[in-house]
Amino acid sequence: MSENVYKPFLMEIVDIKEEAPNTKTFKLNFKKPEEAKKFSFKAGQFGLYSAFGSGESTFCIASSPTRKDYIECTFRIAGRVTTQLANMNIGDTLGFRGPYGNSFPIEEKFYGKNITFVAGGIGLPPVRCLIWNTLDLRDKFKDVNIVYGARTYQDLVYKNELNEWEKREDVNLITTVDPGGEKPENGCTVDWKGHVGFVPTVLEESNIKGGKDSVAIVCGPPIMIKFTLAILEKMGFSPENIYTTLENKMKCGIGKCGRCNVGNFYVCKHGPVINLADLSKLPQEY
Amino acid sequence: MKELIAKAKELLMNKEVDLLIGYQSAGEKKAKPLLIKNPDDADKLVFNEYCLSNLVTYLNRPDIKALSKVAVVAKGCDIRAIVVLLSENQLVREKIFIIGMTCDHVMSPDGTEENIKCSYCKVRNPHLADVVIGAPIDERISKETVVRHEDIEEFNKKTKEEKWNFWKEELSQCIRCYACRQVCPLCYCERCIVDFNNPQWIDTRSNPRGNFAWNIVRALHLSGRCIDCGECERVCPANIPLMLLNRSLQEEAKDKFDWEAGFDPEAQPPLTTFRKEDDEEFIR
Amino acid sequence: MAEQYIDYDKAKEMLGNLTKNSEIEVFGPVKKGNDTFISKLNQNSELSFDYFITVNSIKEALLPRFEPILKYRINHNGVTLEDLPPVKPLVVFGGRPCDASSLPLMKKLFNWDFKDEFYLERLKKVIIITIACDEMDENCFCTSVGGSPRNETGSDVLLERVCSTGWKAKAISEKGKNFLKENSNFFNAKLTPEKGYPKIAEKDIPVVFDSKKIKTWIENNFESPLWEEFGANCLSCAACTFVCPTCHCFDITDDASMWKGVRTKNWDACTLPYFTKHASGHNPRSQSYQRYRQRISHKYSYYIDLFGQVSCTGCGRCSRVCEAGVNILDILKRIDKEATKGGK
Repeated sequence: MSENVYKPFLMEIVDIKEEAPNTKTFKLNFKKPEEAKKFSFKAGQFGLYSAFGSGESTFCIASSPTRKDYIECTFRIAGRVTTQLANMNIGDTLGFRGPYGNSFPIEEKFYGKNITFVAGGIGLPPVRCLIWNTLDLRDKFKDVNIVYGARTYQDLVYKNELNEWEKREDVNLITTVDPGGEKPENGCTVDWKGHVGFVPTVLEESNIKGGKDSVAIVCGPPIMIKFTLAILEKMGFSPENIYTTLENKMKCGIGKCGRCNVGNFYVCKHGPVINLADLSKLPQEY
Repeated sequence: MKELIAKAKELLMNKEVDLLIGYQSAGEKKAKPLLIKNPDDADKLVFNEYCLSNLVTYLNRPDIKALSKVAVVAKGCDIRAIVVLLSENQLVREKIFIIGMTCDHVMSPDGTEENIKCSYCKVRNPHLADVVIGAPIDERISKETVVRHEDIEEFNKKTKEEKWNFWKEELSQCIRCYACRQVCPLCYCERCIVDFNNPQWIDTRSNPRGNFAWNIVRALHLSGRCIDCGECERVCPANIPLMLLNRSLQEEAKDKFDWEAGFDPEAQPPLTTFRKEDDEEFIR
Repeated sequence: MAEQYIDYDKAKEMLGNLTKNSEIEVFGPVKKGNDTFISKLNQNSELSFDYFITVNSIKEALLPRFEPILKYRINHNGVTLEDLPPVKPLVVFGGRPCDASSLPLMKKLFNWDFKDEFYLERLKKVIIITIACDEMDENCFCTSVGGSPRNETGSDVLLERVCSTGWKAKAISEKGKNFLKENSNFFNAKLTPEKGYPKIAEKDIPVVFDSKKIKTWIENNFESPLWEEFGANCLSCAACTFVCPTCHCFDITDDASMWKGVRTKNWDACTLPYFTKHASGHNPRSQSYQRYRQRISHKYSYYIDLFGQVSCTGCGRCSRVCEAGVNILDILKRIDKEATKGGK
């Protein structure tokens, strides 16, 4: 038998960050250096991470493809696999299959344009990969805007990076928390300087401009996406220039198990990245 | 039949119910469920000895539960399921309209002989209904009769090893399609134990461990509740004699608690009630 | 080569002989109750050849209910992946042409970009001995999806009934030819073809719908209220999908003790309520009719977009097994009628 497509790479956890309550980031190194050498991926792709004994779970690769030799993933504890993953320590082994799926059309569609990232809560990891990718190739783009919000200050992930982006002259970062999320009784440990309000509202009130030269990448909870899309269209973003990543339930990740398809669109093969123009042609099954 | 159709039309026309669940013909010697909202479709309704399905199961379906009132065509044996669902607070009596059908017997699933469950039926005349259709039928046995099943007596003569081998062989055929669960009017859990994976209580694979665990757990969850409609066995695509399991547990409930499920809506089911004089200590 | 025949006795002998070899897996028709099933045979299996169609399909052999796709050991230094035993050669006896024709269809999916070698290896190593149909019922519609009672697609050997107790054998593939050669001592029955066989001809199963029209209708009518009607009776079990020769959805689960584990691919079904439910509770297909719509649309529209072919062989098994009375042929005929009426 030739290669087993279900066989994962073995990865070692080399760093763990607590991002938010029940949310962690793992930095993973390939156990076999020759596998690391052969490995490459593009922003937007995902993988299946195994907790041996519990099973596999799907998340995007959260690190940038421009940073070689390791990958990062950020996950929130939701089920059996993520519970086991969350209990793992530095030095432990997990499995990774991938990269799977399509990617953001950076060279073809994003070069030379204003890029606006809009993310909510645990929706930042799927675009963080693209954010770093963009920042590492900063001169290829015009303005870079990041609008990121979460329920409370505690729920904001990648706090260190938010600080870093905040300081950069070439990035316009807008952060927000839902009303109340800035209060100490809701776990806020800092004097909150960002906005208070929902992501779509904050986006609408910003000075970010739409138009032909502007691309938006949206990721977050379904309700946030729904309202954000409406605002973006109002701001003059064309449906072809609004991108999101679909998160249907997956098992195999390689177009066999029949779980993730939305009409004839297999999220694991044709997606997860899709623009609004294409998304609107699909049945509402996501 | 005329009376049934007229009643159905009246209920739908006057908007007394949003949906009516009855039977339609599915060819010669066959009937299948009919779910209608339009009074004009009531002409398709039939009732005959091939109406095997226990339509009460549809009352648990989330989209049907969400309706404000539903009428269901039910034989006495099916009504037993309604009684259990009411006693377990799964149905609101005012939200269902029971069209009770008097019924002498239905046929076996292959249509060749009288269904075995009808030989010991005690509710040929519906015991809980909003309207009863059909002439009264003489009950063949009284409510007090203690029914013994020959096949269980036969089965109990087997040695332990023979029993084990019998079930090993039978359950090896289970493909885990969950038709038994989906058709069962009393399997209404929003999330079935087999759909839990954290922890994974039951192996979901169709292997001996998973198949034994699944079928035995389902039978145990029905102990003292199963109303003997036989739907699980009828729909099983692998022809597994599931009622052998369920009926043995019914006999246990009869012997230990003098209990038969689904007759008296006021009675408290033994496995969900506590009495001071109970033998077991664990609950105190 | 002279014509080759095999009768019931020789077929039993041949299959019995094959099951003695632990290096191969043999599947054949076994009776249980009033029905016949394609089952994995052992020395005690009681074969039955007088059946119209088996309840389940030969998928049972090619895509097992569950199969290991990974084995591992967990130790202090991490995890070690272990080799899986190679897929054994198989002989599958007694499927119908509507079983065999599913194999090239399924191959397209398992060969799509990433190669699922578990299915593909089995497909390479299997001998499919199909028995042409000489009976039909009201649920059969193979001719409407390009099949026929004597369709050779996917088979290695096709047997055609010539009398009440035997068949004439025809090699379809190179593998089939070799099989007939190697087992010529069983395919040497002296049978006299009797009049009246085969009992049915292709024209007995009329074409009753146009699958192209159905595809177009599905594309344009995702929101049609008819779907609610089609799926009204559905109780959301997986019986239809599990007996279907082309339904292929699966789950992947781990089973492990402290130190070792196995990951398996298990049958799963789009009709089951939990199939698409997210951990968050969100379910893109929360209602039974939506799930049934997915089943039909996948076969008659999405699969065509991906692989150019309807993913249904017209065997009618789903209708036969559905005790809630959901009948795929009735639905397809109705869609055909709607499509003709609506003109799109």
